[in-house]
Amino acid sequence: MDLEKKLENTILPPSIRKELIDRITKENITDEEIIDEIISETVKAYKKTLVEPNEAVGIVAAQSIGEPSTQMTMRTFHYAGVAELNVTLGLPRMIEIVDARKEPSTPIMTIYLTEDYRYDRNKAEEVARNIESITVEDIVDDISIDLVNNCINVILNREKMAKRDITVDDVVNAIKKKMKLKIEVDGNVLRLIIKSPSLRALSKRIPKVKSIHLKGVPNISRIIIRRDDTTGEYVLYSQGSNLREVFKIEGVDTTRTTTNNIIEIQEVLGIEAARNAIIKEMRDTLNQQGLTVDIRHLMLVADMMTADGVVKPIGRHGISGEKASVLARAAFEETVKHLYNAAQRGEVDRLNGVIENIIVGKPVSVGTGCVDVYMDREYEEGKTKEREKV
Amino acid sequence: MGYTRFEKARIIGARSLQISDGAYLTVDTEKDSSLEIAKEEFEREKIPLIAKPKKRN
Repeated sequence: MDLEKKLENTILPPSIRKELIDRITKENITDEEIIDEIISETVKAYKKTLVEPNEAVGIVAAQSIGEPSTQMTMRTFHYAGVAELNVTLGLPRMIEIVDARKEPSTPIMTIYLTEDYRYDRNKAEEVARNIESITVEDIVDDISIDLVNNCINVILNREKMAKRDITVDDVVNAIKKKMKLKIEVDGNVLRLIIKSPSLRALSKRIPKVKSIHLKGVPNISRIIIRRDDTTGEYVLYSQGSNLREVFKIEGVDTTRTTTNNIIEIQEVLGIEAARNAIIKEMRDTLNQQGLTVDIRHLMLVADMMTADGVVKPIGRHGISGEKASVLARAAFEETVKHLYNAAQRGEVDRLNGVIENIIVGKPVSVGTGCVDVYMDREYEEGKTKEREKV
Repeated sequence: MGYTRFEKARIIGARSLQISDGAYLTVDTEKDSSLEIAKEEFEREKIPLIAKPKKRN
């Protein structure tokens, strides 16, 4: 209590205040003088970490992320972390994040389970079975073209169907829903009859039939169950991602389950979650390569990408391409196009940004360039005043 | 709050130029470089200038 009051007048943010109180009580420090000194040292250290007004943080962030990125592997694919799960890492992943792609090249979900399910392997497997997407291909022995009867023969595997709790009717209905066909059921064989059969027409439909979704969550092709050794809980990793549908499955802990598809997070959980996802994904990618970048640089990038309320890419179609200043846009890409358009529309450039000022040869608006010097009126009037200590 | 390092640099720079151009000093000093004198004036808070954020259009 006493501590809180003392910290109230400092500039420390709540999170650091709390941490400080926790530490001091944990170490059982009671000496008033020592506590005062700890606080003043903390304040000093905190002030050191602050960025001064007018500092060119953007360029510093660009350098701080760009330099380590040159050290990342150029190799596109890597098998790492989760056994057998394919994850894009390194520079390609970094580019993916910054470009705000609709879908990452290797979408992956980390699915946590609720209290009731997370410590039991069987229950975890049950959840996994409910999530894993099953297509027609998974429950058949063979799909082939029958040239005698001019149809497609789907030979079902009863065992596989029973294991996944699927009936013949389920399959028939699923196929009927997706395609305009007549289906004859003959024991284990489904005959798919189309109106004007030809070899080409039939073989064209085979891949379509194979990929028809029967059960589970669409897009999730494979699930791996792993036990977290530190907490002892079972965690599911999925290849493919579908956050919204997975959240509906019973046993899924919606508070912790996540995906590496940032756009999907934005759509399901909102823009702040997307911002956190960008930061987390970039940090994980860099850390995985053994690179340490201060998180504040990544936060700046994430803030720039999400400040408008939608995740937008860095580059031509995003941040750089949507700048207010004509000259700034022209300096980036497609110079002539931007200048023509600006001329046609009579655009005005207020020369507020950095690039504009470099182009016209004025001092740039960062650092010293943001300061104006005035006469000290009180000095001129003969008054001496106590100026604040620097 | 005191000055940022950018404001400090700007003030000392401007004052140093004034001194170099023959302005009267606000401190007694043995130093002979305008920059050094400006720095000392700044340390002793005697520079008759103030820094303000630049006006934007």
